[in-house]
Parts: sequence; structure tokens; C-alpha cells
Amino acid sequence: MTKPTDSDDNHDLGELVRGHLELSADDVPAPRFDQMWREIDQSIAEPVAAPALGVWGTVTQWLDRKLGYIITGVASAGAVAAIALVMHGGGGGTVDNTDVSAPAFGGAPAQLESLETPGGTATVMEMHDEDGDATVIWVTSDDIEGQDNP
Amino acid sequence: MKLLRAAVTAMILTGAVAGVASADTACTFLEVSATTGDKPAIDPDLKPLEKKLKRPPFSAWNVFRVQSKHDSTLQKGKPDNVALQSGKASVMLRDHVQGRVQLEILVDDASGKRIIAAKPDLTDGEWLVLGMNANSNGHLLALACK
Amino acid sequence: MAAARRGDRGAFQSLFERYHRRAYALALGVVRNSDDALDLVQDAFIKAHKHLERFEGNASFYTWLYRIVMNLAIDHLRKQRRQKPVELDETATQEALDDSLLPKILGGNPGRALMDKQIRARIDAALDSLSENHRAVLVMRELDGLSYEEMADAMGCSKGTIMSRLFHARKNMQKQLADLFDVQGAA
Repeated sequence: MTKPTDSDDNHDLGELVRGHLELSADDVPAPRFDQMWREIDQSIAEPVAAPALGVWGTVTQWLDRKLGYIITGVASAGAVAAIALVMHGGGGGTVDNTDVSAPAFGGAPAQLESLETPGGTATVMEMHDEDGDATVIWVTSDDIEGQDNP
Repeated sequence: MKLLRAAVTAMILTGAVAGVASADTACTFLEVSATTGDKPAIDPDLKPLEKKLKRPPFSAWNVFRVQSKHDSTLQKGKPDNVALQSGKASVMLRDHVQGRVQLEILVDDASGKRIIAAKPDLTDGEWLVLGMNANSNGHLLALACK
Repeated sequence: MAAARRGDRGAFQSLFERYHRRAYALALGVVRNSDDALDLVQDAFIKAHKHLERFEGNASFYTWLYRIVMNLAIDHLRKQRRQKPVELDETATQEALDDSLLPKILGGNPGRALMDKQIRARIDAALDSLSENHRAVLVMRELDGLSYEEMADAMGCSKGTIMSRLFHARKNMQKQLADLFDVQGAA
């Protein structure tokens, strides 16, 4: 039997402190961190005051960041329905003149069977709160895109 | 004048289909201007959307006024024309089954140019908000049916 | 990381998913209150996102986040102005030595000891008893293995001060948890 050295004790103390704090972090229920992310997400999604961009620039900047779906031209049949479903899951993507057979999505909050935005780009997003659901289709005119100021 | 005609049309439509209860799909269509003002303001008609209007992308503005309101009872396959302050819209009920309202919506700008043609499939009571730019302001069309 | 810097919120969410518990462990170790630690981690991620353009790509995101969390934690402690005794309460130690935990402690396996809620409560109490400065240094060192220089930089003091604080922090912790180490030696 050997007497533990200071180094051994330091090592064990380190293990105890680190292990204890890591376990304490594991003890926090996942929904609490989910809530934290939602609050962070909401906070970082707020348009930052950017006078150089102007109001419309701020909106388009936000739309660029938004995890919605950018649709140019025509998206038809099941393509947009699929978009609505995947978008609900938080993904992102672009669809242009896509045509696929329509899948069935019973119970999905909203579906778009087709969407045409001639001369503009549509961003589709969903919003949920205690007042209910809303599907938002935002059309940015091609004449507006790329302008810093309206 | 257009607004008056739309209102009359809505009243006629409402009365005309009142007896066909099972086929009724009541819709509310709001045309909204989104602007920026010194004092935030939201029209009482927009109460159901208030929380959403405080979030991006709508939070770029803080004053939301209803420019025109159109309530109607839609009949399957019959387009309902809605006169807007800026342009015009048409809403047609494609079907209403199992709590899902299937619509066809066409929106044209003031010059008659098509801006949106969409076939949404919404849950009863769910809002569909179509948003467009109008110079530095926003032009919103909000629709809910049940 | 590059995607997050370009404003990709999905990429930033991935960074959050990867580091939030680790950041929480650090914050909790320093501020010793779960709600405060959660608020602090939330603020840290928001702050990190706000200043993503300042992030230097050659460092790891966590190192950077770590500094933000530590700064917020230290600010938090300063605001609270809580005074904790630095010196060990000998009476409490004697009570600890007399309690029923003695026979079952480390057994040469700190990981196993952590399965015991009573032992974890003891570690909590020992951490609580440290002064804020001592605790911050101990947590930085034990949780993330920061060097003396890095800790001195984070706390805005000299390397010598850090070495002294770490020495006293460890000494006090070992005194309070002496029974655990004694049994380990006997095992």
C-alpha cells in the first residue's frame, strides 16, 4: 500500500469536480435546453437595426437567413406540398420548376399544392404560437432584390 | 366603390348559400398595410395575428392597419373576387374535407400583373398570410377559412 | 463555423447543440446556481452570435465561447457580491469525517463515486464553500484544463495569483473531501 501523492489527489479531485459538473449538466432536462435554443433563436432572428439597409433591406436580409423555402418561378403539384412538410421540420432548400407526384400528408399544418410567383421569389415559412398556426408566403419582387435601399 | 361592391358581393354570397350549411366555408380576408411609426399600433381585426406580427419578417414594421376587410362564404368552384386597395385578388374553394380547406388564390397588383397564384391546403382556422413589398412598407393579405 | 459566420442559423444551432451542456457545466461550476447558469449560457450564445464576425477562425468556437461564458460568470459574481469563506470550517470537516460515507467512497474510482448522490452533494457543498475566485480557477482548470496563462488572461490577474488560487482551492477541496481520498489510499 502506498500513500497517495498530492499529484494523485489532484488527479482524483479533478476527476470528481469535472465528473460532477458534467453529470450536473446531464441532469438538466433536454426540454429546458430546447426552450433555451428557441429563445436564442428568437433573439438572433430579430432584425438588427441597420440604417444602411433600410426597412426593406432588413426584411430581405432576415428572409435570406430564414430557414424557409425559397421558391422561384413555378413549383407545382407535390413539390410544394413536400416543401411545406420538410420546412416544418426546420430544413431549407430551393425548388425551381420541380414537378413530382403529390404525396399525402394527413394532419400537416399546411400544404401548398402549387405556387407561382411570376417576377418574384417566394419564401414560405410557418409560424406557430398559442394563437394558432399561420403559413406565410412572402414574395420578394425581382425588381427589389439586391437593392440596399428601397 | 370597389370596396362597396366587394362588400355587397360578400353579403349576397353569404345570403345565397346560407341554406347550404354543409357546404359553407366562411372566410375572412384582410388587406393590411405594414408601416413604421413612432407608436406601435395594430388594428383590432388583427388581434389573432398580433403575436406573429411582432416576429420577423413582420417585426420590421410596427404599425399594422387593415385597409380592407372581406368576409365571405365560399362555394366550391366559384371564385370570389376581392377588390384590394392595391390590386385585386380572387379566392376559390376547391374543396373542404376533414377539416382541411383547399383553396386557389390569385393576387394581381394594381397594374394587373400576377403576383401570386397558389393552391394552399389549410387547416380550418389556420391563417395564410401573403406578404409583398410596397416600397419601404409591407403589403399583407391575410386569409383564414373554416 | 464558417456557415454560422455567414449567418446560417442552422449552423449556429449545430454549434449550440454541440457545446451547450459543456458551457452550462462551466457556468454552473462558477456561479453555483442552475437558473443563473442557464441564463448565463443563453446570454453567452446570443453574445457569441452577435459578435460572430469578431471570431478569429484559427481558434475553436468553444475556446471563444468559453471566454464569453467566463466573463459573464465573473461579472455575475461581481454583481452578486456574495462573500464566501475562503478558509475551511474545521467543524464542518469533522462532521463530514464522522458521517456514514466513510467506508464507501472513492475506492480508487472517482467515476464510480460520482454515482453516489451523497458524494455529489458533498462535492457541491465543497465547491460552494470556496471563494468565488478560488472556485473559478478550480473549475477552469479541472473542467477544461486551461493553462495558468489562459486562466490569468480570463481573470485579469497574474499567473502567480492564479497558481496561488488554484493551490488553495485544491487544498480546501481536499480537506473537505479528505475522507474520500483517505479511503482511496487504503483501497
